[in-house]
Amino acid sequence: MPNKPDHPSAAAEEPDPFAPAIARHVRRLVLESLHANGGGHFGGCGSCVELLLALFGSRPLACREGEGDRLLLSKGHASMTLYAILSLLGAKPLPLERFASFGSPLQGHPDKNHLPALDFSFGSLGQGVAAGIGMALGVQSRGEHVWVVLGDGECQEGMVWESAMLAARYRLSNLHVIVDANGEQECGWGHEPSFDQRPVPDDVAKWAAFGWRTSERDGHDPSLLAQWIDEVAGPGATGPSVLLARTRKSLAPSGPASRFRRHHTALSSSEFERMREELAHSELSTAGARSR
Amino acid sequence: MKRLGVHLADALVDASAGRSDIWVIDGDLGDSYGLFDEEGRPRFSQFLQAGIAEQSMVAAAAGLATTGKRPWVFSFSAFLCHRAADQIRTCVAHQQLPVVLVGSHAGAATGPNGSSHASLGDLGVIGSIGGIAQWAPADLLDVRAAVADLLATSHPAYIRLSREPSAVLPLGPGPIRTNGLSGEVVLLSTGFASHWAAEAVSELSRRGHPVPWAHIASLSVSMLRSFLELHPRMSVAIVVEDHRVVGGLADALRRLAPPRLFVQGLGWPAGWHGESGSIDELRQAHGLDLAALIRCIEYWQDRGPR
Repeated sequence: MPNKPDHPSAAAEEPDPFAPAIARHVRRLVLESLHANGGGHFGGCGSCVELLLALFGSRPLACREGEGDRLLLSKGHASMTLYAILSLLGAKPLPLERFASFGSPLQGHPDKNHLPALDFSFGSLGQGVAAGIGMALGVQSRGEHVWVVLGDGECQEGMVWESAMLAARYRLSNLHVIVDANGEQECGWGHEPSFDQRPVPDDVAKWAAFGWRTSERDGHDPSLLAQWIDEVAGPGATGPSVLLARTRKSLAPSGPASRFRRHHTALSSSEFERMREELAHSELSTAGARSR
Repeated sequence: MKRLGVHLADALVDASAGRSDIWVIDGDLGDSYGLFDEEGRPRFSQFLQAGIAEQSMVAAAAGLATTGKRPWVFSFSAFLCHRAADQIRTCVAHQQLPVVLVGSHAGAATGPNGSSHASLGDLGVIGSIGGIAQWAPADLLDVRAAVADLLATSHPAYIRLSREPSAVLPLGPGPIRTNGLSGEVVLLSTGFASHWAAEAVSELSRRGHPVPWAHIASLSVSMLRSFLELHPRMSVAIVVEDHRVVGGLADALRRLAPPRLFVQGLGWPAGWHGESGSIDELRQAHGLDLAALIRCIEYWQDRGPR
């Protein structure tokens, strides 16, 4: 198992997914790779960095180790964050510099046909929970778990709730959803200030009403995230379970101000340099970290 | 150059001035095709942000249409035509409600997005439902013609628009836009692929092998019949489209073609779902680049009458 914050004796040969320097390093890799490709989903990539790192740090994942739990990045537009983490922590580095270019294994949205290590292809929003139900049923007897990372805007798709109802009916205790609740979406209702601006108002109550074991935590706190993962994957846990992870839709403190640009944009040189500076000092501190 | 989606939004802004019946409905992608102004406000007085919920969006549009309103529904073509196919079928087409479906980012050009965002079979999906007028504009002139036609009529319609910014074709306006030539081997194109056809026509003309060329934006049966009547000597029609070879314009023409006419379809392979990359890279990889188009046209020109 990869080391956790409370495992100080863990081997020093691998980067520690829970070390703050790793999260900054991942953010910098995402920033540089998206910028080199002409732009991308900086905000949504930034909001799920710690969520994905916590899963990598807490669970054996098939996409990393060839066997273990399934990880479904239903909010596929955050693919670059997954690629950066897989490149750092996986069996071999990935060609991050070729992100979303022709012939690259790293397609703009996760594509299993191009990167077979992935558990599923995504990019059309809303499909993760349903795919997760099938996988959870299939691996139940092996004691494996399925982790689905959703965006909160994505939860507007009707099939998310069709699937939520079905998973609860079958009491799938090995199916877990983490909602990257950054509170935004591409357009939303910012043009109507009197409207509720949350992508899914009262999300905790909604998931609970659909029969899910529901929690709400800071989505950038590795310890809290790891604690939740241990709880819901532990023996005797009931489910399905969902974590409403409160996050910020940004890769660095000074991301673009416009709501459209926080979702997807191309950065100016000065914006890029400023964000890059903010993510400085992110070199891996762990001895033996894989050279890139 | 602008994206055609932005041109369409511009045309609709002009057309909807003073009209309270035109509604614009968005699936949370409106900044990608010009539905918002620089301040982030919708450019339309009657505007519904449906959120990331294509199925609800289409059914809501149908409901609006039953009250005498004229809804224009915007999303990316892949999500609109595929996820909401049943709502398009039962809510819109079966009841012949005047809902206009606008699918931006149609075809293979997805930029970095990849296969999930490619829309290579949308004409097949919409065409197989039936009862929905289909449009594939290539430029600003086509967009204006489509908007004018669809506001003057009241039937369901689907407009597919490429993500790529597009110049005006080197052809005059009209329902069938041609280079004025006729012959036995004729090039027919639609949508964004008409810009590929324009390159080929120009290069063949430079080589001394001019080819008759027609571009159509309205993919109606009557338009295809007019095309056939326009070329009575035609024995080979080479159809170029930014769509799979199955279910698109070539197939539609085959259904109407007389026995003596061979229809050569040039589109994306049937089993290919798209990938990240520039449109030039994708065309080259799948035999739709300029050299490949010219090889195909010259093959049929050299072969002579069938």
